[in-house]
Amino acid sequence: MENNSDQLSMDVKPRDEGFVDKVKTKIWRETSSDNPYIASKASCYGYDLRELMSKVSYSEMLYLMFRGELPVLEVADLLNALLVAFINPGPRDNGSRAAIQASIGKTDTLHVLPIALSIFAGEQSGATFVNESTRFFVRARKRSIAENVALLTAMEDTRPSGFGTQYNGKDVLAASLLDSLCQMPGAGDGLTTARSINAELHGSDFGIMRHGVFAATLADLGFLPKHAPALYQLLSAPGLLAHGLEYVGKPRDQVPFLSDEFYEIVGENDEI
Amino acid sequence: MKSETAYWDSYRNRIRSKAGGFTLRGDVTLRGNDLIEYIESHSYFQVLMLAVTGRHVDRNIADWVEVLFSCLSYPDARIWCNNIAALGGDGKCSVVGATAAGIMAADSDLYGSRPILGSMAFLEQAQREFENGQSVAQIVEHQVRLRKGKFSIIGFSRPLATGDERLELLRSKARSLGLKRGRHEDLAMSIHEYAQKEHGESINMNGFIAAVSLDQKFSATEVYQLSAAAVLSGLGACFVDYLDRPIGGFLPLRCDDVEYAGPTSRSLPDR
Repeated sequence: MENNSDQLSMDVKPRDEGFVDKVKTKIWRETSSDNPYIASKASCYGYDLRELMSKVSYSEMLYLMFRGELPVLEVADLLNALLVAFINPGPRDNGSRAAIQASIGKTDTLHVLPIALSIFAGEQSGATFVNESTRFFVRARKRSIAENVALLTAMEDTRPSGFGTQYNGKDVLAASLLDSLCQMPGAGDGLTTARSINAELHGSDFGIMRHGVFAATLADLGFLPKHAPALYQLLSAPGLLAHGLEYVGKPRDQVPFLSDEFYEIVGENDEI
Repeated sequence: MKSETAYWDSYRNRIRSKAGGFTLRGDVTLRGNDLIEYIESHSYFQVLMLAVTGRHVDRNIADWVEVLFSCLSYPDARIWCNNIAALGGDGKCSVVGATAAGIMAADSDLYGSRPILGSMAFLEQAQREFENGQSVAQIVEHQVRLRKGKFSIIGFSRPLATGDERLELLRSKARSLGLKRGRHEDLAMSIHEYAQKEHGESINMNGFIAAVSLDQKFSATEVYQLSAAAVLSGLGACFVDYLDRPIGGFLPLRCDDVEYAGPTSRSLPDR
């Protein structure tokens, strides 16, 4: 190698990255009053906010916000069912447990939801996989069920595709949520493909996971796969928060704190 | 069929910790060391490195990591994570919330702590290729071809500016702290020289830290984990800068400062 010199010639020069002058949005328009900083009117994709308030449901508004158009009735119903199905990952989810720890530890209530969402955003909930899972179902719709099953069976880790095990077992609740969503008139071939694959996996030791159901539904609703992880957080937020808020103001002895007897400190090389 | 759950059953209401802990009688251990004793003769960064890697490191290595933190302490409120901290100060948020938000922002593929994963992976691969007989030019040009002719090698190209004002300091600190120049640093500097000559790009802090870390036998995951909060100082500076000013003073936006690019006003359809 030719460089053994200690001389370092290093000029620092700005790059011309062509930054824009303004933030641009297709989502929201604020029109000002006399004071240019104060909005007197707001609209979402062209619809006046006050008109939306009186005429659309929350799930329709959510769809409009992320897709740019109001959903047809079947799609709105499917999204509504998804909102209900995924409103709470449950009190045993690590995100909910983090929310509870925050509240019982008298953390500022304003931090409870961000804390919960950060801890929810991992592999346990499937949040880190749901982008790829949504992509999987977008493509799975174009393959035969046998091809999908063969693909999954050959994978070393099927979780990014929305299938797997939890605690060495199949997620029974996820499979039943999938069945219910498949019965909705708005269910498309993402959901039905997921159900068919899962049925074919009957004799296997793995099956559809919670995030897989979410991903298959998002594929049918037409949301972008890259948005899926954040939407998974958003839809799970009410439950995570509710579990945290349930403990706000409660005395700290209302959540277990293990005694020393059950806290074992082991060495670096000990088996755990 | 009943699932085998013995692993999880064994941990119900029980913690087995390799990290250490605090007995409620006043003993505190960190990775097998009495923490109170350890603090007497070690720096905060030695404690941090023991906590994260499980290994005791000498003071010079810990001081090197401290330099890394210092070099990510730019207080410029245009930098994305600092911008968030400034917004937190401007909005009168909790300093902890704003700091945590800024730290999360710096968990980015563009800047902050995460690019070290990519730059260490690149240098490890480049070292293997180099030892298998490839030239520096071949290694670099292969990367350029992978990116359709664009020079964008992590650790050797930097957003906003070319070059890196921290390099001279980092090199002299590494030597003064007794970190000997190793084969990864040699290769990194050769790549730097080639990139500078042929593409007008140069090694940046991230690339240099990656090389030194590999020579010091740290894994990419360890460096990433160690540097999780490395942007802390810049965040604090930008938060505090705006905390005591009137609300809305950080890059105020009038309604028409946001360009609307959506549909024109429309009425809701009859449904």
